Amino acid sequence: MAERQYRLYLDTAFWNRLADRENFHLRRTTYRFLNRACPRHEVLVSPLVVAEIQATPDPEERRIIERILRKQRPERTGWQPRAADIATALLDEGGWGPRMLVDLTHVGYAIVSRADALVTWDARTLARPRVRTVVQAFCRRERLEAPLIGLPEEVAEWLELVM
Amino acid sequence: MARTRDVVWENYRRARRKLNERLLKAKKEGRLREELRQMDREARAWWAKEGTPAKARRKAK
Repeated sequence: MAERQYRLYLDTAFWNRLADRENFHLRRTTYRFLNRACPRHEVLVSPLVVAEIQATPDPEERRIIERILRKQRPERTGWQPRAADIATALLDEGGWGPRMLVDLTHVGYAIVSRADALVTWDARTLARPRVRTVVQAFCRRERLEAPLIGLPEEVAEWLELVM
Repeated sequence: MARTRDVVWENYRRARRKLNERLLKAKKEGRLREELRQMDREARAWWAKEGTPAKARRKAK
């Protein structure tokens, strides 16, 4: 049986770790996910990811990420106005402060572009149970497919991706 | 023992905060959708700047 092709939205926190010169484990895991788990699947990138990478203050870090991002040739989500509406709705439903607007806009992009998973290294803000619960409840009610939200290792395990 | 700084994390959070401020300002002004459109334009310009690797190779020939 042919393996299912998944759509994987890679968040900025994921791309940034590719340029991590200090934490070898995180960098290696990120490369493994990108080079071993992703090739048979669709990699999605939103304009938000590009904007955040461009705002990375360290020029050397930015150069490395930009080079890999271009080489990867991901599917670009383009302008998705509905992502803004979803982010606003999630912000209200979760009762979160305004600081989470951009994080939830990433989730909005992942939902609108029908991603099976949002992959991030941000366990403090995004990949946490409360966010997953609110996103799942919202998507169920709106009859949308809820993406899994997790760290690379978690997503690889949930979707049985080989790393 | 002093904890080692996670520079990549700090850089990521700084970039995210910057973008959040931009989106919050747009949301307050009721133009969040338009701001995303503007970001898409900027992203398109970024992708077009050097082109994809294949495009760059074709240009070099």
